[in-house]
Amino acid sequence: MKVALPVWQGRVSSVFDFAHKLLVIEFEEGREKDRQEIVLVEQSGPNRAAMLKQLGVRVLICGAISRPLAEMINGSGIQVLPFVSGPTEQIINAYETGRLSKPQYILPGFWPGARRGFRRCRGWKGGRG
Amino acid sequence: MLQYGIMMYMNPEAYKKRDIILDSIADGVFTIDKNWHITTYNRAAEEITGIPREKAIGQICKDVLRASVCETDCALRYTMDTGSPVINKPVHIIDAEGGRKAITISTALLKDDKGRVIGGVETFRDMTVVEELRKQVQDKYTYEDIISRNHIIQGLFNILPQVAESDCTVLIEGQTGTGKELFARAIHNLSPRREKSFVAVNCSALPDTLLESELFGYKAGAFTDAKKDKPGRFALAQGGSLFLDEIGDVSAAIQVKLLRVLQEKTYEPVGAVSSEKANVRIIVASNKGLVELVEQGKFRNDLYYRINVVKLPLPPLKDRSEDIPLLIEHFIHRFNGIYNKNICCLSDDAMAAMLNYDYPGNIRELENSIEHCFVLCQGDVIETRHLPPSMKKSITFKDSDISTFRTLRQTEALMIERALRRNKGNRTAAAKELGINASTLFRKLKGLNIRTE
Repeated sequence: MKVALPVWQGRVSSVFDFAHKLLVIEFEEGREKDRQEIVLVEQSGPNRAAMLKQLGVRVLICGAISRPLAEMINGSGIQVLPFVSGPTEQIINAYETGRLSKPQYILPGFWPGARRGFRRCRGWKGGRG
Repeated sequence: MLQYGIMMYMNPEAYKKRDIILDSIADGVFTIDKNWHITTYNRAAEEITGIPREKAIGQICKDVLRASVCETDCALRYTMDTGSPVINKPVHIIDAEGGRKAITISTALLKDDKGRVIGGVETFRDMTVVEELRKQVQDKYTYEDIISRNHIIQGLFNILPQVAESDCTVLIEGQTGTGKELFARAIHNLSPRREKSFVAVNCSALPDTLLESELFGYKAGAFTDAKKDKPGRFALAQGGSLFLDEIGDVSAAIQVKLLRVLQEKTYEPVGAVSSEKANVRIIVASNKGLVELVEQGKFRNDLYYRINVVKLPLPPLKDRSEDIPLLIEHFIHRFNGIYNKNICCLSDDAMAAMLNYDYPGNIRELENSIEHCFVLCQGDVIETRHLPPSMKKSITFKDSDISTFRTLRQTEALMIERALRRNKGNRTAAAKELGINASTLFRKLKGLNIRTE
């Protein structure tokens, strides 16, 4: 299963819409199998959503994201876990251990229902699928 | 944050005074320390970003402002490094509502009484209204201007990049006011031709002879008073995209000429002796079903097959009622800027009437209805008395009137029943339309005791 995070200087990028680098991590049986960094050039929302789908990403963990883009990515079957903040490795670890919804990783200021995807991933221990 | 707290404790009066001054400024203002943590944040900044002061203070500024330049071309970093201010730099931010907002930012150094740099200050101004007007004047609409959470529209969004990239002819079908031109512009703005012109022609607005010279242009002497060459829309759109709206209304003669352009990529201006090359991407739209027109013999079937390479059917607004509240919110925000009002929302009854209405004029009608309300409404909330007369009727004549329901449970049950009916009992599709999980819908169906076939 592939998980993607926009990153900048060792932290999760503040806004996915404007991010310039994407880290794609492949998990197999709960363990990290492979990771690659992809440079995101100036891309529109639909292009970003299409690229995630093309890469086979199943989950996107990101900071802020515009509502239309979040809905577009969700609509293409990719789970979006937005409004996350923190150092990249800590966030990956928190995701693997099902602690991503902890308050220390929450980016302030999001619309109601924006983080509803976290309810689905609660208790997830990583790597299945 | 701690430092701010200590200073507040040591000299509360001075800080209170400073906050009062900052809050009276119409522009957003925040200051940062040398580690990029926000130390002050005024009321206008709260309003523009949607993030309250208590949540913003102590955060890294880029996590709060969320501007397009924060990570690559930070204005504050430039000022901190060079000592030079940045003035009115236009950028975009993502606010707490998930909307993209245009702002301008200005930065300066923050110094203590001994002249030592202790951080930076950034002021920013909301340019949403200016941006909105600029978009209207220049017709620079993108996919972000299409507001929808409807699964059919989301499906179209998913294929939009490939469609835009491909250069093929696109047929957009939908009733009047469903946003056909908005989609055409979004395709153009996503395509490799986006730097060139987007030219729109409403084929039904011009009589046949005029349409021909309008589309293909004419040469001097082609007819009386044609004193010099006039380029047609094909020539104006050279290298870009040509949008032919209401294609179903063009005459048989023009259909033949269009067929030739599509097949051979050449056309002849009126009165010309040689052909001209057309390097144009063609997007057509129709509010009539072209298949029916072909069956009735009113539209050439060879032209239909030529233009029907990729078809984007746009659903009418009554089939995407989940978008109505989103669109209402968008138009309220927009008209607040234009009419300089501060309307927050609709009363429950007014919202019920709007949700109950069928919208034969689709989104255009909804937009005009909100504008009608803005003209009449003097307060903060739009009431039923401000609605256009056609909508007021919908309160009394509809079955299962939502306005008679008072509890959340009743309204929820009605919305779910309607979504199921619209999706012919398909619960997964209904859940998607309602913006909830399929499992949540199953749970609600059980809880609300709604039976499905």
